[in-house]
Amino acid sequence: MKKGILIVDDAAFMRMVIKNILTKAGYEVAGEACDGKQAVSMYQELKPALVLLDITMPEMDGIEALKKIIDADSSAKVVMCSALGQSSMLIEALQAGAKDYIVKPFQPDRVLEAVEKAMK
Amino acid sequence: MDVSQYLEIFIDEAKEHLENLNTQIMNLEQDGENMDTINEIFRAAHSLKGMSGTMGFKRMQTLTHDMEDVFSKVRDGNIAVDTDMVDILFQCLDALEAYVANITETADEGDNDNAHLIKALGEILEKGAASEGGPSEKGEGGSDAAGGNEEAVSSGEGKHKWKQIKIGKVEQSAIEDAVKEGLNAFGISIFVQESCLLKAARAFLVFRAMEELGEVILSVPSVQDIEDERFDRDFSVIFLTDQPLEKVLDAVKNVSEIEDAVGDKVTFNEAGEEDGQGAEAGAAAKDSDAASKDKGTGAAGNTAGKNAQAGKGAGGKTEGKKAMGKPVVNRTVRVDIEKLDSLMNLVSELIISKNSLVSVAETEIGASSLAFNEQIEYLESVTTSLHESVMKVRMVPIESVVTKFPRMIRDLSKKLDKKMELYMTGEDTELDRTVVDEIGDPLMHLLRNSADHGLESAEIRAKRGKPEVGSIFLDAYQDGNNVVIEVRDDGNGIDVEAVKRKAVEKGKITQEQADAMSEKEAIDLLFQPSFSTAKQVSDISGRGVGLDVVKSKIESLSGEVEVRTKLGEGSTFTIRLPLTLAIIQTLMVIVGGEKYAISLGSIQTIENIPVSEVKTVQGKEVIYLRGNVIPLVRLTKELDVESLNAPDADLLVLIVKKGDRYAGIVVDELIGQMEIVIKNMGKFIGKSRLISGATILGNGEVALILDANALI
Repeated sequence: MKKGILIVDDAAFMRMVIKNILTKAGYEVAGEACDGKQAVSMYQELKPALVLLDITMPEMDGIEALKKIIDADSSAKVVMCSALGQSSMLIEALQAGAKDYIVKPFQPDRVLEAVEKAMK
Repeated sequence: MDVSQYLEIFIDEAKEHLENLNTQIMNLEQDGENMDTINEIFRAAHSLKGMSGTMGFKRMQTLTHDMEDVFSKVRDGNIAVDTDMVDILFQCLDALEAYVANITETADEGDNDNAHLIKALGEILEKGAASEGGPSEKGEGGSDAAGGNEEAVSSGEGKHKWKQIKIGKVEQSAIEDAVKEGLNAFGISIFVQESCLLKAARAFLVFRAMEELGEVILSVPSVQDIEDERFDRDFSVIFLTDQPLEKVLDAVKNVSEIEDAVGDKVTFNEAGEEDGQGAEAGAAAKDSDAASKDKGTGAAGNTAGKNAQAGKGAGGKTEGKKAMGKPVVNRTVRVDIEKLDSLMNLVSELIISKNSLVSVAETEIGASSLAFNEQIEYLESVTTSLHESVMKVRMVPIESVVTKFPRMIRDLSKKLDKKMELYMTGEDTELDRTVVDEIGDPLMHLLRNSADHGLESAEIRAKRGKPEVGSIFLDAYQDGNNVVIEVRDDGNGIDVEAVKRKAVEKGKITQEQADAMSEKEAIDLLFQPSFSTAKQVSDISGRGVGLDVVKSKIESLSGEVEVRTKLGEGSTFTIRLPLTLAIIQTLMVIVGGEKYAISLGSIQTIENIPVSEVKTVQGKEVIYLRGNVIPLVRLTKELDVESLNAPDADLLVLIVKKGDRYAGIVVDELIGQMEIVIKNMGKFIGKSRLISGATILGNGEVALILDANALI
């Protein structure tokens, strides 16, 4: 049974913001990763119900991590976290199977809407 | 949202972004078309905007927002980067730094709106808009069209904008065929929320949701335009499906940030009619025969469309890779320096305790217990590695200090009206955190010194056949247990005679002393308190607090400064710093029955010299060793103790080196190599030039640490 949400972002600030939004709404945060490589290995280990995945990260970017996660588990639910101006990358991620996306700066309502719909 | 808990992390990351921006904007001035740099700047400005927005720092957000707008235009090639713009951007960074400083102190950004900067950024944008010409008009045209649509909405067709879609013959026949096969053809208009960002991606999700249920055969604006985000808040499609309309609309509405979706069956009034304007529910397709002729063409068109899309996807991919090529942030854990200090202290205690075990093993257990000795050796290697690891944790690249220098030189260049360029290497050289924190000011002073006193004016440079633009170099590298930082310029060099004249004028030395002075001694005068050769006191350097401050700062870090200069060609200031301050490898010696430690780093060789080989030159004892004349320093004399050795016994001489000078230090006896922990002498014991500290030995004895440099 998949449980909890994995937060992936290289900025600790962003992870903290997302984590608080999620926990306040009653979601369980399964773990936090700060680059793509860590995200892939933590996904295997934790089997989270959902991944919030940043695009621009060192080591392995979010799109490559997304592809690796979906390769390993085609039912993986991933919501991309994007900054403005990353439209083409975002579309690539969505083509690769991401369920939805949220745009920084995060609006709590938007994050929760995306999480709720993606988990359905 | 309560944001106070994020404050600390916000400040840390904001500072990182600002530093990064400073560097990148410098790069931008060098190469205004480097997309990597521009993207990086955009990203950093954007992150800052997002962060300050999240924290509710409205002024900071406004300023970063406007900066981001400018970068966005630069990125799109609508504005060219010029010096004025870079100036303003730097002022913006200063303003942002001020906000962050305010936030650090008061948790509030303050009330400076920086209206002049907002205005200046606005002017840059206007300039960009003016030169944009064509594209901007096109943009307006687009919104006019949208306005027209809205009129249409109010004129009765409601939200069913899809009814305005012009359906060509090819599509019409495809629709009619589909209807014949029992499919439904719907026209659907989809509206995204006003707040929606990155609408293209949102539209992509809508298309993906729909294509699970059927096929989109036509969309307005075109798929291409939608992907490029050339649409306002809505788009319309013609959709073939075997599902009921409700299900399709639900699927669309289930995509996040979709405000509404409306649709109806597509119908045609009469054969061949090219648009669906008169569309009315219930009217069925009438001329399916005519339409089916075009079926083949329709299919071909479809494939072509798909190919085009695939091609675009691939294009987007490469573009994405390029922008993400460079990893931006280090993977770090932030640790309070105090925690590291306490860790370091514990390691020190461990080493002391290990040393006492060693001495216990030597005196009480003796060589009989081999296993004990083995374990001690193992313990020794573990403590040494532990020490090294803790040291490494405390090491940070000097980058954090030197990144602000290019900006400083740029400002100086404007202020002094001299053209100059700073070249830096070895920014990744690492030093102990405490040293890095302290090294900034001395380096800044040396750079200012080079810019102000070192480099000549453009006219003089031209006369001397030098390039008009002066060069200042900052090179850092590790050299054994030291880190060397060199500040070099290709300017005038130090005028030794002028220095002497000035010293005589100031009454620091007499004319006779000046005449007898070597060049080196004269240059050392520069490092004396309140000595400045600049004829005018400028606000850049030469305020009297000069090189002497640099020197004392470096020496307080157990380092040293050296100058090499050639009149007319330039000067080099070399700073040499020890890698670590707390634990060092030493040679333990005995002088007059007392134990002393001397840093191994400065010892070149150890020699046995017969007394007969000691010569006297100008009343000083020297030895002649491998072609060098080396002055002897008798520690017994310096420390005022009696040697326990017979006067005619061979001398035990440690050859030490400082810069390019050598000296031979005479000691009574050698004990061996030892890793020691430097302990402060405390405030009650007056400062001694020769003693740099003390250490606790394994048996609890205290040994003084001799500063070999002070002996030369």
